[in-house]
Amino acid sequence: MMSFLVMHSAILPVLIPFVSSIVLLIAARRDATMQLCIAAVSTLLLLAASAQLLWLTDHLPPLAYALGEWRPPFGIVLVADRLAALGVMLSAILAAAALLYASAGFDQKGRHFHAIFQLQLVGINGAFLTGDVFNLFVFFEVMLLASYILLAHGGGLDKSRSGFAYVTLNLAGSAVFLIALGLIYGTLGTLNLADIAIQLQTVSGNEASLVRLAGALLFTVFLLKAAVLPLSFWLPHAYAAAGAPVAALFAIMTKVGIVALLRVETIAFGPAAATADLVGDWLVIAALATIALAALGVLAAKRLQTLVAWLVLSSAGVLLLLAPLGEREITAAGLYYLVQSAIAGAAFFLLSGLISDARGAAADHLSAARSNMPVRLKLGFLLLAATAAGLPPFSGFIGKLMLLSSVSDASMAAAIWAVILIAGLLTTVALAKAGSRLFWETPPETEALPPETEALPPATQAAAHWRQTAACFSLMTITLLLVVLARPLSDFCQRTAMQLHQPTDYIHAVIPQPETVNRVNRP
Amino acid sequence: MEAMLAIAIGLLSGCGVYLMLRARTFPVILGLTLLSYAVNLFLFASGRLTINAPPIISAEASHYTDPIPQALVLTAIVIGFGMTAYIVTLALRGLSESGDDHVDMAVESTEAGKKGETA
Repeated sequence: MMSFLVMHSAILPVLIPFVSSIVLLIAARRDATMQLCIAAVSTLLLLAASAQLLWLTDHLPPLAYALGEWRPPFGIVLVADRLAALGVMLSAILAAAALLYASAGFDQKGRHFHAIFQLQLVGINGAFLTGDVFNLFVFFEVMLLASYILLAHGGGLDKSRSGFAYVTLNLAGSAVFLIALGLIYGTLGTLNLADIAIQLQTVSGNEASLVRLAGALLFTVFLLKAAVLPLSFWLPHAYAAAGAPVAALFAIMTKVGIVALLRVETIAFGPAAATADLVGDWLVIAALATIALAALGVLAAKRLQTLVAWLVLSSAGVLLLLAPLGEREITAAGLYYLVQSAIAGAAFFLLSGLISDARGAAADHLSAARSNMPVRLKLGFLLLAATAAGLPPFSGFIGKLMLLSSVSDASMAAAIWAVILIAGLLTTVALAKAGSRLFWETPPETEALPPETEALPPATQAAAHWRQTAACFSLMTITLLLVVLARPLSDFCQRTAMQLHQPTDYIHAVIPQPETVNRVNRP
Repeated sequence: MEAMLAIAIGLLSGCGVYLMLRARTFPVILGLTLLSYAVNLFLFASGRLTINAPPIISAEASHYTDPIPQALVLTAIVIGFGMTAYIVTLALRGLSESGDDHVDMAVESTEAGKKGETA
């Protein structure tokens, strides 16, 4: 039994939510308790499976899982290496917290929330684990389709409007993705990532320039998902319109784009001579511009959730530095930052939901309002604001410190330091302003209050459901644990980066003997 | 045949991009559909254009056509159908909620609008 689980551990994070979403759609269409039970069991199983995968990948070389025993490069393959396991673990943690928060009533605003939520996890985990670029496309689509529906969950005009823009942009992105895949298949004759890496070594002439074009298009799509500057304007609208638990889960979605970019670049396109210079200084500049834009967005935000969305964009900008700089130390530091920014961002979205509930009609608008805010929300805001701004001794500070010290030898170190530090300062100012608006400022007595504030029955201002509070504060506890356990985690990130920067291990795990692969001449 | 296919793909994607940049939801959806047709044709062509050849191993066949792009196109078509259906629903919902089909956000009548947020 145990070895069976080990053997199939790479597919479990995809299979568990997939099966449960089908069960949810067939067996539990109306029964809310039943839905919640199935979703909870599935998410707990997912947590266990992710933890097991994390442990396995830390002790073994990358696990290649050939579906239906069709040997790569011909079949579909999932590859679990440390980076994939880390991403899957992170998404399981965020999913557990988001589900706990949503179970307090948000999930019943639409009938199929749980089924779609599980499908979203299928997409995210699949995108982390897949070993070929066409399935990366398929899992991206699964992830996006689920996210479109989750974004619209709960209804409201702003949701359908921002949803429309988000869907259109991503459909255009999918078209570009498919063009890139067509070019890769047309020139290299394969879509398996490890095989692409092998074939890229020998490509030349016209084929080489077509492959470069394909790589550029592919990176453009990943950058769209990761929301780098010219392609980033969808993110604050979409994330600010989503419900709090949905936005918390979305915090991992920009990370999916970054991980995909990092993986394709380090394994296939980076080492090959024809495409080595595709990702370069231009991406550093775009990433820094993204960080600067996000800092201005944080300053200008009028709602707390919009502000957090801009913070997510800022962390995406920081993480985009990893691919072009391409050093092992920088990748390791960046992976720590990825973990902490995802968890802190999700916790902040949940906290923004709690604050919004506590303030009644004023919701999370950064304006004065009369409310009895529990002290725990104020403390929570202080903790998360300090983490997001990168103040010591919280995990945001450790992440930024490691990143800044690792980039000190890079070519654009001065610019990177300046932009990240100034953006940190602006973020601190904005968060201090937001906090004082939310918690301390009260409207003057003479000013007529909006009628709905008066009309609110006291029940809606009552304490939030314990599950909501528990979800938010367990994520905050994890951000504190990231400080205490910074050493083991950053050691793991080191090992992950080491594996990532040795693409031969990955390629060998998927295709042990490339010379024995029986290739027929293509028409 | 190559030239014809290339012109068709170019025409479809050109029209698709033009329509996608329009300000109302219906042309945008139409543009997305045209673009996905263009992409599907392009994917199909990535296996090279072969006439009168089977995509499966057979004793009589002297040459083959590549079956993989056909499978990829099938997947892409299915996904495209689902996406188009969803975006049509979304556009209709936006139309019924706000009374006009502009892609840009109309601020009035949203909850956020009352608070001065330009979403």
